[in-house]
Amino acid sequence: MHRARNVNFVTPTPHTHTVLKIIREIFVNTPVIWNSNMYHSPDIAEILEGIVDIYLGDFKYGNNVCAQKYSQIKRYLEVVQPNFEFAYETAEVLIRHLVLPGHLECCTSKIGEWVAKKIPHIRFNLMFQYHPCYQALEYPELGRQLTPEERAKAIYIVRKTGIEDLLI
Amino acid sequence: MEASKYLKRYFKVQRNEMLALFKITEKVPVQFDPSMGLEELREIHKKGIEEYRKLRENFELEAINALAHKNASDRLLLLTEIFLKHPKANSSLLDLKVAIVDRIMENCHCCGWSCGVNRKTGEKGFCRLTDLSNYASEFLHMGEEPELIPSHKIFLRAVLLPVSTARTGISPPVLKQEPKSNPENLQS
Repeated sequence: MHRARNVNFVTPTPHTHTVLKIIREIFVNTPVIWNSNMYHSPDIAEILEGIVDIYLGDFKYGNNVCAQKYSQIKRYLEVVQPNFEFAYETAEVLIRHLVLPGHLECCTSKIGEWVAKKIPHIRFNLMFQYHPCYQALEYPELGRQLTPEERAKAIYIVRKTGIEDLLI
Repeated sequence: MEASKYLKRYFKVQRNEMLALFKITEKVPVQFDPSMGLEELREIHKKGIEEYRKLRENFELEAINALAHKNASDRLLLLTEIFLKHPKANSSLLDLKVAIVDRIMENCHCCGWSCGVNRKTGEKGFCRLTDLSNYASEFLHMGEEPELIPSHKIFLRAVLLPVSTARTGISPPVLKQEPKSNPENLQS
């Protein structure tokens, strides 16, 4: 597309076959962005080496209990962590983490620590635009926006882990 | 806004000082028959990836030398020569990847749910998708990280993490496959 700096595939995982076929038809030299929750299988991870230039990966939860509770997803960390590590070895990584109200210790802090230890040289986008909607009201603890104090604390927590390339 | 420190290769690709990774993959020749078993195809892929890594390293080393030239047109000429020295393969590692994913869909384990359904015959697992990909929209998006915009975004339709809380709060996740107006079939 004219003036585009990259091609950016959103929710690509179950469409990997289609994404590859689109990429095969691209004539220009343009970076490929994999805009994903990183919940893909090891087999797909292998396939993505040599395809994806930047993994634009959401890192939502810092533990499996929160992942199970809010996204009904199993083995969240066991699936996404190896994928982030493999992405780090084979391409460039931009992590997006949306801070959830009341989840600074169990999620934001845990994610920051893991990233700083395992995949430190990445771009980290710390996001605060959480807004309760859809089924969020079934979870009263998520039925509000972040407080200014939580926002400041999230920045403090992530800075403290030593992550250098932080986008706020 | 501070420039990103760790997306260096990405910026090089944008300046045409380096090839996008799929452009390297296209240059790696591999011999295979799509009717081979998945394990056999993966073995060939493993060897292809070794070749790809060598080629990628090679390009990166040669590009460093080319970029050392002071004159911009010399630089461009050298880079072009380096990148064109290896032609696109007739049967490439990229073609092999397409064939492998095609087989993965027969016993689908694309995502962490690993449902094992045959999406090619119309079976549906957690994502409720067959092998047909619908896309919700496609446009030049300006609402990404500064280093990514403008971005040619292709929104494919699926939900794997049924998040109770949408990321931006603007669009709640869609739990049923209900194509919006004029969904395009990307496979045709």
